[in-house]
Amino acid sequence: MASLLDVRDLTIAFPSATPVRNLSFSLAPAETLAIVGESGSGKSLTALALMRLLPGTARIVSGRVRLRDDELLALPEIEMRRRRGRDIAMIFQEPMTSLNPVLTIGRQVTEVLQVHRGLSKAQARREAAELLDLVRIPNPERCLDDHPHRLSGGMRQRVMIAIAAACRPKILIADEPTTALDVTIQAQVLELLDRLRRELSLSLLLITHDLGLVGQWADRVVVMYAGRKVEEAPPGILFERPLHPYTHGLLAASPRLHENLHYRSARLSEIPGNIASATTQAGCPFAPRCPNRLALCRTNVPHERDAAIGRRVACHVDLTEPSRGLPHDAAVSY
Amino acid sequence: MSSIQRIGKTFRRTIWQAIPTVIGIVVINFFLLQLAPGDAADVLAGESGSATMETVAALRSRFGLDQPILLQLAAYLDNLAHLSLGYSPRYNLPVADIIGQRLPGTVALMATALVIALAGGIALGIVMATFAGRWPDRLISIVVTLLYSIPRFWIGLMLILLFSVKLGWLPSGGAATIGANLSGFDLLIDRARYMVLPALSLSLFYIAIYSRLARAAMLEAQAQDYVRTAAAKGLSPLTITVRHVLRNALLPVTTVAGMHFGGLLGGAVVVETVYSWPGLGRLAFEAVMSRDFSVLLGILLLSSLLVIIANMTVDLVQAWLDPRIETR
Amino acid sequence: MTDAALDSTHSAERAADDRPLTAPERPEWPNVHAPDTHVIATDASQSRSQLFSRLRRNPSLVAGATLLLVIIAAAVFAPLLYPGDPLSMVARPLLWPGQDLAYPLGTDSLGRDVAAGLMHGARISLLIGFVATTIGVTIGIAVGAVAGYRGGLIDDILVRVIELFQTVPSFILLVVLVAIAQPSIATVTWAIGLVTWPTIARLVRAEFRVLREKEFVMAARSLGFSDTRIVVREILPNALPAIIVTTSVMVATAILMEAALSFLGLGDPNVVSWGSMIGSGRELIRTAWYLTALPGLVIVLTVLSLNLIGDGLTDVLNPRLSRER
Repeated sequence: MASLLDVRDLTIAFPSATPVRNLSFSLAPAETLAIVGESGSGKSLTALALMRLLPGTARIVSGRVRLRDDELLALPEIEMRRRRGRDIAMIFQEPMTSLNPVLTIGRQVTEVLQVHRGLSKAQARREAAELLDLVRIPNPERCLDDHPHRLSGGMRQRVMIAIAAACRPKILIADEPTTALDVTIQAQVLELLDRLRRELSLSLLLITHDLGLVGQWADRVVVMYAGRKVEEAPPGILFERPLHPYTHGLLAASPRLHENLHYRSARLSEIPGNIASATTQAGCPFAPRCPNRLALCRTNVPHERDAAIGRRVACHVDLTEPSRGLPHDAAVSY
Repeated sequence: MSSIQRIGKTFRRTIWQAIPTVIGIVVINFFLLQLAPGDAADVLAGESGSATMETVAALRSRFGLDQPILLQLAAYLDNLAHLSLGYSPRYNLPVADIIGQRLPGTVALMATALVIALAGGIALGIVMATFAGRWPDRLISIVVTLLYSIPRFWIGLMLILLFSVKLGWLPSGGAATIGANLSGFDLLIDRARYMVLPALSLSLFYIAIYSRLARAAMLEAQAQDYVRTAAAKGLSPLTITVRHVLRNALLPVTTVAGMHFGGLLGGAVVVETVYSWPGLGRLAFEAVMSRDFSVLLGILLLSSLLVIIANMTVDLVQAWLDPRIETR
Repeated sequence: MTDAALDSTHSAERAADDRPLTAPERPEWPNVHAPDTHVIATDASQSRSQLFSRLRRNPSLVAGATLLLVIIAAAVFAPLLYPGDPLSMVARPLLWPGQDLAYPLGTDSLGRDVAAGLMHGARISLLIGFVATTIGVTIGIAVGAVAGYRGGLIDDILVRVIELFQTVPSFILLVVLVAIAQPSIATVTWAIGLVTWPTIARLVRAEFRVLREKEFVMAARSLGFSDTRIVVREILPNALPAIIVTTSVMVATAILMEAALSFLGLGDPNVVSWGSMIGSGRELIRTAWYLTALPGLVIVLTVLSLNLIGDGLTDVLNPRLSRER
């Protein structure tokens, strides 16, 4: 399958830190790729970097981001602006604050239609009502004239999705789209995203720390740790037989995956140490916390390699032999 | 809820809230009038020159000045209800008439100064926020701190020195060229030439306040999530600033603009004195010099009412700008 | 542009960045004096020395304080350098600055020494500025503390009174008060204090409303401390940073008000003041503009020094307040 989006060796740096290093992944048309990691792993920065909307002093130091035939990182800003919201759209974690409180919903949906598709005001309004209907907002005509504060968090996130889907983008980036929402609403929002993926045949890049979501909705999973990809696999295989010790720990720490409990509320302390220790040291970022580290791990960064068909891992230890891999519950014992 | 409904609702609420304030101000005025040396009878007796104790007492009873203080307050309130602020022996006119003559001058001056201050302050604030931390921001910050420290009457005199005395570009005082029978566009230009320096003197201090505030409000609004959403939509920086940042940043600026309206009125007193501007401020100065307390207190009362009206206007503007007002 | 000025913007940003850091550095309950007084005291002294070093490194504050010290020195040494009455004639009238080195800043239309007037004027401006502010701050703290701490009906009434005083244009009220009471140093000072207290009352009330709900106040209550003790020993110290910042700006405002009053001829007629010097100099602005310019410059420098101090204190003590004003 030819990839739609191809990210190679992406490195993002602040003046004092490098939160994303040599990250590579690709996204196929109409596919859902999940990027998983705890907070501080660099997953949200990666999402913003794809939009070229990095905050403040963060800079893309190196790498390539290819969307079809365009090298996004090389585009002039004005060209990039034309692609944002049209080819590559994004929704955010906080629906409560992501909409402008002083503008009507209608204004906020129509402006993207007017700017990218050159619709007239009346056309844009009709289209906006259809979009709100598409994301299952009841009474779309009336909602257009409402202000965001009248809507619940779930409804606001639907509006955000309507805005993102307005120009039929090729890629929709969803950065923790359900973290701020109630559990019951979470499922509805993800169902909606998945339906849009199928109906509009767009690719979904789902940024999350919630392994429960990943198992249910993703076609492929990239696990990030301290700014690096440590493992990549389809979710079924990943859950069945994780290769990287970090993935092991992550799965062990979220024991009841299918009960929609995300691991933050469970006991992540079962992986000793924390991610902050990984930012400055040489070698494998997970080495200080790793149960089966080698001397090599302290000095050399492991390169990503194919572990099996459709799965990749970055670890010095040969994890393909079952004996070297860790049993699921091993994490508990250290 | 439409913005019209919202504004209507806010209007009714602010009217109710203003009533106790108005009553309080009237009462304060009354007691200040009581404290002022000499009453109307003394003044009238002094005017006639040959008043005996008996005639003064007769005058007192005629004006109700020998009544208990609460009855006098009632009479005062009754007068106010008939829009009567008393009588000024010096001008030989009812106080309300004198103030009515001078009010338009002050309102015109203040409105012009307010527009200059808001436009200048917001514009500078936008520039400072856009270049936050870089040299245009620092340079303007220094100028603004300086403006913030200059007395209005002194900057007025210095502007006269520069533009009237040294350069001779603008008149040094008054409100219009006397005896020049102008009409249409020429009249407008003439008025504008007299308006420039007083309005500028009055507004410089507020340009300083509003620009600092606009800078902070812009920076805060720029950091909000909805601005990131707007950028993710592919909007241009200009559209983002104008449509998404500015309107939110204006909310705190309008609040503070309302808070400083009273200060602007106070500033008008000194600035009008400097420029011989025929307004309430100059009238207040003349009233102080001639110890004409009924006029002075009339001005105090009226200017307080102007502040209340200004505050109500700010509330209405906020209701228009901010749809969340209805839920508060 | 000076280096100090360049740095001042930096420091403002630094203060903003520091914001999240200051909270955890503080001891949990900084003002529970009850059993562990000595422990708390060491913590307090540590954070105090930290605070002083941050104050010393703030360029706005250093520049403002230096300038203010110079002006205070001028006020202190005025009677030594110019022992005579600054209102008496000493030389030929209308000497320009530099014309006669005995009178470096020249003389006015009555032959009075401008330099002597400026130095003696500093005494009046600073005296009225600081005393009036003390009066205003005292009333403001009292009203604000009662309103904020008590709440309920008393709060409602006091808030109405504060609103009332904030509605009446303060300068016009000031003019009326001084005109009724007859101008003198005492009446001008009291009148300025009486029109400026609402600013501080409003601030103190807001601070107290927040602080009275804090754990350390609850703790003090549970220890059975009296209201007075809680207000004075527990709440007030925590409200102080905000009060101090506002106070420095209030002194500047009071000095500006006094200058404007004297300019209008409503100052004490028996003393020389910067405002009255400008007032009498303005008639000669076409011929002897230095008589207007010099006292004005001195006012600008004084007010600027206080505003710089206010900015600096805001950066250091109260980054939260930076955007108000």
